Amino acid sequence: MGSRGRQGTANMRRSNVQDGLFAPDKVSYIHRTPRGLSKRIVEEIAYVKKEPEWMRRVRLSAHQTFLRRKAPVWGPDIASVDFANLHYYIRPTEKVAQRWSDVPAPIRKTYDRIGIPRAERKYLMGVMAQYESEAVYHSIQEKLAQTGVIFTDMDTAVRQHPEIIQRYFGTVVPAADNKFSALNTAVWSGGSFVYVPAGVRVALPLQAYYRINAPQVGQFERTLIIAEPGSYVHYVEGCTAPRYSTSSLHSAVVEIIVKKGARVRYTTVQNWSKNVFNLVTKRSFVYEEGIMEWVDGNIGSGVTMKYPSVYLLGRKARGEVLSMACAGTGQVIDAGARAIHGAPETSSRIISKSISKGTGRTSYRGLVRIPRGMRGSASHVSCDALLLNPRARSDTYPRMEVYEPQARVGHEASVGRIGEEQLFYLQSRGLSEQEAVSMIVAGFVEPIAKELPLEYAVELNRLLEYEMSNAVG
Amino acid sequence: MKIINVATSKKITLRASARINVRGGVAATVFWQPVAASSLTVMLGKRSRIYLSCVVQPQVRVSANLVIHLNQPGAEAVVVGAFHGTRADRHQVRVVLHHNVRNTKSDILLRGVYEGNSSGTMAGLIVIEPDAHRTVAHYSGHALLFDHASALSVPTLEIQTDDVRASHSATIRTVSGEELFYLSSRGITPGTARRMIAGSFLTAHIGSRS
Repeated sequence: MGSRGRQGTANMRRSNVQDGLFAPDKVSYIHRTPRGLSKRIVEEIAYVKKEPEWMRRVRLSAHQTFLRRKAPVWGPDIASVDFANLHYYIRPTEKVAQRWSDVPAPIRKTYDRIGIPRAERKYLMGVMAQYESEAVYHSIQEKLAQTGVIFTDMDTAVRQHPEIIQRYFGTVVPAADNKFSALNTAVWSGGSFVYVPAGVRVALPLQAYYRINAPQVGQFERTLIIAEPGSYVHYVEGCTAPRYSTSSLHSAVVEIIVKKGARVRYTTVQNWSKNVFNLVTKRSFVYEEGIMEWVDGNIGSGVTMKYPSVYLLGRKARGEVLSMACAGTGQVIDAGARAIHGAPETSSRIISKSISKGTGRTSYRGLVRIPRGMRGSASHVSCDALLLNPRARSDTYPRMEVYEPQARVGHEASVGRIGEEQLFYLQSRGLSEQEAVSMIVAGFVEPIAKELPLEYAVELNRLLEYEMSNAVG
Repeated sequence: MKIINVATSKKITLRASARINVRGGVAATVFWQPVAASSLTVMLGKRSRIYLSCVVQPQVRVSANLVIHLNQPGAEAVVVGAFHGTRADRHQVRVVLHHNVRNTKSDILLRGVYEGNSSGTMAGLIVIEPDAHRTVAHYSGHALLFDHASALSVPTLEIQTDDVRASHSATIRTVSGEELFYLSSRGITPGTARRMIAGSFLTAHIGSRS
């Protein structure tokens, strides 16, 4: 009969299709869908997750959009994404089957160097399905529930809070936005849902990392954060420790709505293994006097395309994007930001710091648009790039469209390598060349690193130090 | 396409499209006033230099494309641009620098004033090839807007080696209320103040790098 997965799928094939709805003869436990993407597979995903009818229709419609849309012709080469050969849905328990020995040695070695505790390592490796922090997790949940904050995984949210999800899902990033948002909308699984009631300030950063009852990082995570007026929340995802992933396409969508006077900070640190295409659509709508802060750290993956966006839709709304990219040999990190000023007196700030080493390539790609009538708006972009080796590459593709004379936009960028004088200065005080390079690189990313929660910042610095030791010489 | 071979240091005035080859060791000064759709290509020889002023007067439509190839070591290019748009003008200026070998320098300083319903696009591309060690490249594009004008600024960099210093800056703004108040408090009418500020803004770099 073959594996359980195959058997389960065989049952599905023989089942009846009634009224156009997918309804199997008996319940089958599917570990993962077969390779490739088709309408049937989208139906299976909706069925396995026991989703309401409206979500199933959203998925099917998005699947049609995905088939029609073409991949972007600009940016890094993603022609080798083999859509027909991917598994689009893998149950989280499937990942437990991964063995420690399957994980590449360099990743295990990195864990030693940056000091990840042993228990965490197993979790990150997928050897352990859940991180053992049950007591911590439950006490956090109790505190949150008292204030009315909802923090759960997206799968649960669709079932338990359909009225909120239905109202906001796909409103910030519609399926038709681009080919990968269409794909995500069709096959999404996992991700977080955060709802913060008016006036509530969540003091503790919410971390997906410590969610126990939900699948950890999925290939097609869908995250939705709603901050009601006057609220504050800081959401953190990812980790500096390298994540090994057997699936090579990660395409997440993050939608954030910041209502009047609210503030949301979304911190990501991504360190996927080099076989991963990391193609993400992240966007926020910011209303009157709201503040949105994206802190985006990109260290891993083979190809990343990610442009956190702020759409400033209310007077005096403010958006900030702090983006860091470190690309080594075999990596292309195409990151940046978009700021669309849709109201007067709005302001945006974009800071991008990239490091290219070996033959790695980083690109900053950004847009600032101020339409007519958005008087009093201001934007400033600064992107700096550091090249550490002769064959490293860095590009900058900014774009400023200003249709309102009573607005101020500024942009500055600089690219270069570590100055000989700087190295000499540090070496003459007893540091080795490697230590000097690490120190200068740490100083280079400091404006972004200092915005990370402490444990991330510490790990990031250690990780960069380790990466730099390979860059020198 | 008109081809101009510059063998001795001299000044050239141009209106339309052309191709300029600057011989090694020569310093050329070019004054280019593009009209309609014009393109200018410059090839620089060893240790040669070009100082190029590009001036766009108010006219309905201009699309100017300037490409400079620094093919030999020691080549230097300085481009100073002053663009003025009024009424319903649509201006597009693109400056591309190719740094192909070591020890070359470029400095691009563009300024545009757009009034009425005009719009200006200032695009720059600096390409530094893998063999172009010790390149120093700078691009700046600043726009001053009045009335209902608009501007699009696209300064791009493509850098393929590490031993370089490349930077760019771009701003789009209008004259602030404080600046106008300062001048009017000294008895200068708003119309005169606007012309003074726009004039000094446009000519800020003229003659500064020659």
